[in-house]
Amino acid sequence: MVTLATIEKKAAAIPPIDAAAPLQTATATFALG
Amino acid sequence: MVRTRVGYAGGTKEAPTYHSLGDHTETIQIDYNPSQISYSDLLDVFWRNHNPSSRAWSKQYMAAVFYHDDEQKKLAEESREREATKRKEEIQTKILPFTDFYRAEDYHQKYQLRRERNLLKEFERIYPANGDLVDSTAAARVNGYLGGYGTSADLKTDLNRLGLSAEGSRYLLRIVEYRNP
Repeated sequence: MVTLATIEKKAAAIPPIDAAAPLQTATATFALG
Repeated sequence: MVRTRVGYAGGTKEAPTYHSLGDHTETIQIDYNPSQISYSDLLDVFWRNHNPSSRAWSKQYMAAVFYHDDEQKKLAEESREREATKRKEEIQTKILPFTDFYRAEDYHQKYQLRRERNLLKEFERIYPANGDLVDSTAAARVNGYLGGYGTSADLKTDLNRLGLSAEGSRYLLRIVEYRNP
């Protein structure tokens, strides 16, 4: 499943790793007990 | 790993909370970049990090894969069969269709990071809205390092991308060098 990134990249000082986050990602959901 | 969050899934109760969970199960949800890591890789991590032969005492603490599409379902079921063959015992872990996911309360998110007040404050300055903090890749990465995942060599390559101050960076590196050199 492909979802869009939810972080708004409007803040000037956001961490570079967040600024570079891909807009399209896949989602996985697990329960570990 | 792009984003991580914990929450409640698999049940029918609307808007569950930790103290009123209804029939939901505690889960972790991960947004990942399929060009960097595959769903099969995530399944390998999943099977290595829980005991699939343990019967759940309650639905809250059941072990399960919640698949999001047919491909995930196929891979999850195949991985469960491999585990059953390897372990030669009955697998209790469920493979279930994903329906809804409700984010857990803020105080459950980025648990390791929340225990390091100074580092948390740095992220709160960057992301005053808690939802943005939870969705931060940097916050997820720091949370993982604090939890003992990743080496100090890994951290050194990440450090200038995490948005931490020089002081915060030194502090985090000291912790990781001590715990997982």
